[in-house]
Parts: sequence; structure tokens; C-alpha cells
Amino acid sequence: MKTGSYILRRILYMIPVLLALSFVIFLIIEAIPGDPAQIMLGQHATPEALERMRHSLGLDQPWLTRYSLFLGRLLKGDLGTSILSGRSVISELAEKAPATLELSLFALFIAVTLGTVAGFISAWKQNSLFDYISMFSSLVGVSIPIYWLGFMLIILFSLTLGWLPTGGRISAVIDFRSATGFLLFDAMASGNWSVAADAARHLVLPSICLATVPMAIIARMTRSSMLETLNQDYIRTARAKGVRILRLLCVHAFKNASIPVVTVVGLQFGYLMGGAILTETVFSWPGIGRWLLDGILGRDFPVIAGGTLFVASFFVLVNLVVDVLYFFLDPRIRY
Amino acid sequence: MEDLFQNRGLWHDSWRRLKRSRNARLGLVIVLLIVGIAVLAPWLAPYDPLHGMIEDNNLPPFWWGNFGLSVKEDRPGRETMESGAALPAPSDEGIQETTVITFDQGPADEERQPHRRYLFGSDDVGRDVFSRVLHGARYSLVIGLISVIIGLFIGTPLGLAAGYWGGRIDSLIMRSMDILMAIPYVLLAILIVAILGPGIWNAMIAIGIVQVPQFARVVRGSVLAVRELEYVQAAKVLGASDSRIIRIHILRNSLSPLIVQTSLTFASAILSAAALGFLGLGAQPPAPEWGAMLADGRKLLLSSPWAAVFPGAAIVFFVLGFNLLGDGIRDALDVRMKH
Repeated sequence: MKTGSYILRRILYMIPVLLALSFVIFLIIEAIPGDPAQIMLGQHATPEALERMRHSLGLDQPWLTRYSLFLGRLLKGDLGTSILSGRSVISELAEKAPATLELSLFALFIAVTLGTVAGFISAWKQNSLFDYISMFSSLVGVSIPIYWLGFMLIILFSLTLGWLPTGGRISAVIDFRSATGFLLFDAMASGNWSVAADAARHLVLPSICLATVPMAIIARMTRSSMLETLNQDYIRTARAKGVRILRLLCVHAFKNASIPVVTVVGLQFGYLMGGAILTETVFSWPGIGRWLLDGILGRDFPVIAGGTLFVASFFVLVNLVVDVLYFFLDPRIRY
Repeated sequence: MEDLFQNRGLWHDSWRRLKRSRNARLGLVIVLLIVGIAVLAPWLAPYDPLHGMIEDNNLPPFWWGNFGLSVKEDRPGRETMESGAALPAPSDEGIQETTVITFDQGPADEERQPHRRYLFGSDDVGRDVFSRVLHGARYSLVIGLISVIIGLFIGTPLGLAAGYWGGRIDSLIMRSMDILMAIPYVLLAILIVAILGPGIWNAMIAIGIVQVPQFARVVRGSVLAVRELEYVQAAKVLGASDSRIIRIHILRNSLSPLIVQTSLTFASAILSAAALGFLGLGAQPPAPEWGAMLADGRKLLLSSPWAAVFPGAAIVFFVLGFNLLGDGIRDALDVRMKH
């Protein structure tokens, strides 16, 4: 099968998935108790005003009609208006998403580099002290509540040593308008190095916190995948031919061992979106996670729908990218 | 000589392998220890977990000063606090009230004479953190147990049906599971709690539901592996009913991966329950649940860090125990799991 048609098929497959997803989210929204009209108008609204609001929101329609209205607006790219802030959900998403993406990308970078290196060395020096320590710490890593780890980092690096800020994206005194919302990249691109340094300092603790679990999982996966590959016949052949050990590991083994690792990285990127809820809460990071959580707690239905849909579609999209990467990494994979 | 030819079953063999694994032994010890603490908490806890002595509030553990962990040193945090300057405090209008930095109201710590000895210190209303941590084991254990049972008992039949009958039933069930898995599980749990309302029972239900897809997947996978084997085909030819084949032939051969999944899920259930408690959606204060204690402790990071340190350490310890044990069981049963 041609690469192009494969990718096209995968993209087409996303359509029913996203449709089903929108339906599930619609059901969740319907099931959450609370009357949007009441929340919008407040406690003292007159029954007539409530009735009019319900009508204008389409709440007096049967559920199938409501779903098709919801879907229709969705397809036009209209996610509605936040009840709490009165702003359109799309513009809030556009404002919050870069913050979360910046955090997630840094966390993912830390997790992938340290995780693969630790897993690689563990497999190379199997049963060594390094192997034992790194595998035990990765078990501890998946056992840590990341918000608690966040507290410990704050106590140590912010409150005790005073090296890093306790939270937020940038110091309050700095006035910097970011065009894209990616503060660090914008500051670096415009040559504003003091702002970039400040933003980077704010990024350190939250991204370590968010990276912990994926790093541990990636390290374990890399190790087991490498060990499995090293047991293959072609590795023994290469060894017998006298290929140097490091070249053998890097070129012959790692490339083949990387396939399951790519899956895990993709899955973990989806996980980061969930972990962001907790990390952003601990570090007052103004991203999607906290915004969505505030929306859920405040019964801000358009925010819940828009935010959940965004996070879940992101996950589906990452999965698509992983599948396409697979296609290139392993020529045997053909669906 | 006889011993060599003794017929050992899968379980006997696995148990021997499990005992040989150092990690599994360590995990088992930790889990048994916590279970013991949970059962005996009322007798082990030196003080009442719910009622403190307000005059003893924010006291450090009695050994705290011996490790250079002085409370009154020139820590930058302290300085900001004492000079009254606004700390770049997290403004979290969503979750809790705005973070309150509690100031010590009594005399300086050196001059205060504690009325009791606090192994893990005391919190802002003078409750003994150690007693609360011990009682917290009960919450974690029960939440883990019940939510895993919910996930297991909904997920297993779904996975069995999907794997055994295949075709449309399979795609319907598994595609729904995929959709659920597209929503990160923390978010899904939060959404379910939003539907049901906060509280410890609803948190268990939410965590149970979130685990359903994982159980369904594991079970389906192992059903597919045995469905086409000769002995199942033979049973079919002999006219065994579907329910008999599923019960006797398929479920029994899917037990190993299911056991591994259960023990690993236990670990993640405890973590999720604590996360919900921390967000104010699970166990409600003043319950000494570890996550809820962390939410309280968050307000005291400056003045009494021990109120946050120990409940979290307890979570790590317990979850680590289950992860070690789960890994050990996986190796012992020789199950290959998909991550």
C-alpha cells in the first residue's frame, strides 16, 4: 500500500472516532447536574427569564435535537461562551493551550531524553548497580503522586533554597506580551533574554514534576525492549562479525527497540494532558488543566465540553502521529 | 528423588518464583504492613485523628531539630512570611479558597511547650499527623479494594464478550473502550465525580469506571489467545454451552493476566483516589484520607511542611508496595503485558 493512501485512511478513520467522542462528551455534559440557564442568570432570575434563556440555549428541545445543535456548532468551530468569564471558549482555549503545550513539551523532552538514556544504559549494563538503582527509582517514579512531588520540589528549591519560584509562568513585575502564547520561545525569538531566563526558571519545577511518571515508564520500556532485541539472532551475528559494542547497541539494537518506545511516548503525551491538571494546580500554571478543572467545579458547561473535547482530540491526534511513525519505523507494519 | 518428579501446578510454581524475587518479597512485606496498619489503626494511633489540641498547632516532629531541619532558621520562605511580604502565592480561585499562609499565632516555637509528643508533627488545628496517617491507610485500602472490584466486575464480562463472540459485539465494546480511553483517566474520573457529586463513595465508583477499559482489554486479549485452541474447539464440538466454555475453559486460562492487572490497577487506584481527595472531590475533610490531608497540608507548606510531607510519603510507600508486588507477580506468572 502506498504511504499516502495509508495516512489518508488513518485520517478518515479519525472522523467516526471524533464523532463518537463528541457524543460521549455530550452525554457527560447532559449528566452533570445543574441548569445552565440558572447558572448564567444567577439565583434571583425570574421564571420567565429562565424560560427564555432555556429556549435560546435550546434546552427545551429533545436531546437528539440538542446533540445535533451541539454538533452543528462544533463543526462550525463554535464552542460557545464560557458562563464564568463571558468570553468565547475558543479564545480562552487559544490563550491557555500554549501554556499547557509549552509545559508538556518540556516535560516530554525531559522524560524522553533521560528515560531512554537510563533505559539504554540499564539494558547495556544489565544487573549492574546502575541498572538496579535506575529500575528501582523508576518504580518509585510511577508510585509518586505528582502533586506531592510538586510540594516537595517547592519546599526544597523554592522555600528552603530560594532558587526557583513557587509557581506561575513569569514574575509579576515583568511586562511581556507574547504573540503566540509560548512565552519562552517568544522571548527567545525576540532576543529578550532576561524574560526568557525568568520564564525558563518558572518552567523548571513544573516540567520536572510532570515528567516524572512518563520518564519512569519510558525508562522501563526502553530497557525491556532493548533486552529483548539484544536476544535476537541478528545481534549475535553482528557480534560474531566483530561489530563494536556501542555501535551494535546504537545502530543495530536501538533502532529496532525504539518501536515499542514510540508507542509509549505517544501514550504518555496523552497522559501529560491529564497530569497537567494536577501539575498546573500545584504550580498555578495558567493552562488548560486548571482552566478545565475550574470549569468542571464551577459547572461551566461550554468550558467542560470544549476543554474535554480539545484534550481528547489531541490524544487521538497524537495516536495518529504515532501510527504514522510506526509505518516509517517498521516497514513490516501494513494494515 | 521423589521430589524431582513431584507434579507441581502453575500456582505452586508461580508462588515459588514469586518468593525468589527480591522485589516481590519487598512489595509483599510493604503491602502486608500497610494492611496490618489499616486494620490496627485505632489501636496503633497514639492520639485521636480527628480532634487535636489547638494550643499544640503547627508543631514540628519532636526529632525535627536533630537533623538540622530547624524551623526557625533564616530560610527565605520564613523571611518573606515574617516580614509579611506577599509571597508569589498560588492564586487558586478554582479549587480551594485562596491559599492561606498561616502565621504562628502562639509564642515562638522554642518557647512553646508541646503538650504531647508528635512523631510526624501536628497540623494547623493541632491534630497529630502520625495518627492521621495511620488512619489514612484504611481509606486507601478500602478505596483501592472497592474501585478495583468495580473495574474488574464490569471490565471482565465486557472483555469476555468482546473476545469470545468477536465481530460486531467486539467492535462495539472495544471502540467504546477506546473512546473512554481517549479522555485522560484523571479527567474522566473528575468528570464522573462531577456527575455523581463529590464524596468518597462516588470517588470509588468513578475510579472503578475509569479502570473498566483496561480490564476489558486485558481479558479480551487473553480470550483471543485461547479461543481458537484445540481444546476449546473440542469442547464446542462436544456441545458444551457458551457459558460453560467461558467459565471453565476461557476464564481460567485468562486468570494470570487478570491477576497481574488487578495488582497493578490497585496501585493506580490508590493514586487516583488520593488525587481526587487532593482536588477536594474525594474523601471530605476532616477525614484523614491521605489526598485530602495533602490538600490541607498545601496551605501549610511554609509553616508546617511536615503536614504535607508524611501523608504523601505514605502514599508513595503503599503504591510502591503494590507496584513491586505486581511486577513480581507478572514475572512469576510469566505474563507478557502490553503497555
